[in-house]
Amino acid sequence: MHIKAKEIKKTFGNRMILDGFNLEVASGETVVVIGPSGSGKSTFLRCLNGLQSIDSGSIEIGEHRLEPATSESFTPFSPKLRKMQGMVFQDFNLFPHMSVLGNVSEAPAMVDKLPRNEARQLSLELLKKVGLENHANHYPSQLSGGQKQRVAIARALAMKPKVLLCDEVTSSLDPELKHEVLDVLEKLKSDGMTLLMVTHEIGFAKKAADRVVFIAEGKVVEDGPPEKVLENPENQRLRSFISRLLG
Amino acid sequence: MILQTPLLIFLALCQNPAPLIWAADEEGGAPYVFRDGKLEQVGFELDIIKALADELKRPIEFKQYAFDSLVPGLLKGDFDFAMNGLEINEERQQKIRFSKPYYIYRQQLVTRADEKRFNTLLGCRNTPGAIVGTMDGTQAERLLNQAKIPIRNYSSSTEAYSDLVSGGRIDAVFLDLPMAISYALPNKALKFAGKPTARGFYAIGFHPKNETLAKEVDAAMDALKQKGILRSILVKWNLWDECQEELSPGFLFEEEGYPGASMNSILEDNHAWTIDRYLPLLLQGTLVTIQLTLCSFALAVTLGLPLSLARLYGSRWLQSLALMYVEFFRGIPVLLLLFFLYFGLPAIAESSGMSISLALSPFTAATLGLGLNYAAYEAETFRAAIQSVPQGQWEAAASLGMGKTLAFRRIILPQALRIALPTTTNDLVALFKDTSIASVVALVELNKQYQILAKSSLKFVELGLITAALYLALSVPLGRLARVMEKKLTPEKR
Repeated sequence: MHIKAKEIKKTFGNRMILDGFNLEVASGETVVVIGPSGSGKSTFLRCLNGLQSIDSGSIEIGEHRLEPATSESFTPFSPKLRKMQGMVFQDFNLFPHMSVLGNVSEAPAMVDKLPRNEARQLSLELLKKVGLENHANHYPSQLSGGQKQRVAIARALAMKPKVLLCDEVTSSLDPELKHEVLDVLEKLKSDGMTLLMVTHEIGFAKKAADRVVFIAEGKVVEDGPPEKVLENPENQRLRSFISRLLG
Repeated sequence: MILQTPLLIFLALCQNPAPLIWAADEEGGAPYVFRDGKLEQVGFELDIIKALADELKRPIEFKQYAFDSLVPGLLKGDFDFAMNGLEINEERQQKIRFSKPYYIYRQQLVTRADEKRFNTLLGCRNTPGAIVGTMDGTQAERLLNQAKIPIRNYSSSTEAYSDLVSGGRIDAVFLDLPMAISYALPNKALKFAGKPTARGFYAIGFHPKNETLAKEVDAAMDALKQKGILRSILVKWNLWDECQEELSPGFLFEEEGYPGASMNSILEDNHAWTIDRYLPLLLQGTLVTIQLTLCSFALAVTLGLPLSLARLYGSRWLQSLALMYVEFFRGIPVLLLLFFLYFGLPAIAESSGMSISLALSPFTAATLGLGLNYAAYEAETFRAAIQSVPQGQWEAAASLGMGKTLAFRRIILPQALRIALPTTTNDLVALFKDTSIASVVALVELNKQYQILAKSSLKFVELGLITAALYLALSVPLGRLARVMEKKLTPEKR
């Protein structure tokens, strides 16, 4: 599924977060977005999913078109459009009062009105895919960070999205747990899923990304294949950003 | 100078003897001692007191004291004597020393003017569902109880008669003739049913050890009778009748020692205050307390949740309405609310000419009052709980395609209820104990039952401990149940 963002502007109070932001993502592509903190990466993802409205510009997602809205509320946003995009959050946001199976099967059962046992069946398959079929009856509080994030991915996949938006999905994890999440994402990529990721994982970007996009101050500064953007950065700011990231 | 000061004080004391403290209950109403239209203290007993003070050459000071606590208060030494339509009966005679009587009372049954079903106490007993209003701790209450007539207790005659007028809750009032003369006689909506019955004596009560004072007052009382002062006071208050002749010194009853109030046919004064007699009554009170707790809490929660939603997600208009509700019901005392619901609503309905009676039963009024009050607290608890569910939960639900209602119902509310549970449980226990104030609307729950029994039997300690044990036996498991529920509702913490 195709995503096309054109000249997006977004301000919070006096702060310009997105300032004429342009980005296209083709179906099946894996795009990694990098950039200094506060550069607007996460805001862009949240705008795509309608968790935040845009002030001006336009976003095309498949045949759908997202227009600027005055309200900051995410309710007017079409649930249908949201369903097409799975979202995985930095802090997992699992439902603490539901088991792992409940977390994954809730939306298919309640939103897609799948019969409960079908929803469970689907959920178990997805849990198997992320390697957690044995944890179906656990509660989120009983899981490690990496396991939680994998449940969150399974939960997002349960709605059969066309694209997965990943918002710094490894930032809350201990270093030794990051790979379990990244491995799952790589597997998804090889299954043909469109991935749009905000991350600091340069290694992952080099290995798995089709394109790397560097943004600063609400604008796309560099956009190209990883070897070009990450290894021979032309832009001064990008160079210093990468050298700081690799520390 | 140094020697002079104590001397002066001594002299001053001789000239102005310390005032005697007289206890009575103004709330009991006319014609004993009460406030008139100008809020001045008046009453036939006040007149007698003034005459006694002249006779004794000692000032007498008034002390306000609840009528049904007069005997315990006297024994406790809170005042010198009690004079407030205190009836001589055997039970009281065993505990306190009575003066010579100053009035011979009888009981008068009063009904609404249009009452056709009965005209006597016996007829009333044979009328199914008929309830008779009376006052706590009076001889009338005792007589009704012995006659096994369903009663409702009031703490003042005014409340009883006005409740009879407003209709629906009681069918008659059985109280001392002076009260009937003061309230029912002038009221066209009421009528005297039958003749006054059950004669007895009003006398002044003293501590049994205060024989000296009692003798002095007896002598003074005799003097008032001989001089005709007592008679003129009773005439002034429209209380003089042929019965009062028997008060004269040397009359027959003096030798008999003023037997306790009569109505011998139904009177059997064998008050053996044993546990098998009062425990069933306390358990009955406990049952009422439990029912009241559950009903009013159910009301509080069913009202509280929509209120919290209105506060959080309602239109501006709805939000301020819910806020007003919360501020109003949190801001007024429950006691006032109960009083208003019970006594105020019927008055409003009457004065506005509404065809339906708003006379709520004591239980309904108490449930409504406590429920409305606690709903304000529950609304705030729920609001805080809903708000403390992290924003990320809303976002996660939304990103899965859930609408706002679905997300609230399946994701936010279950978590909010878990957060609210400890506070809500606390409120439940607090409400359980707050039910005790329902006694102001004549509901006999556990605490009221204790007061009634303790004041009649004077077993304050014994009954108090049993009552406390009954309260604890319920509130402690309540807390435990809440913890079990909390665990059950939070499987992720097991």
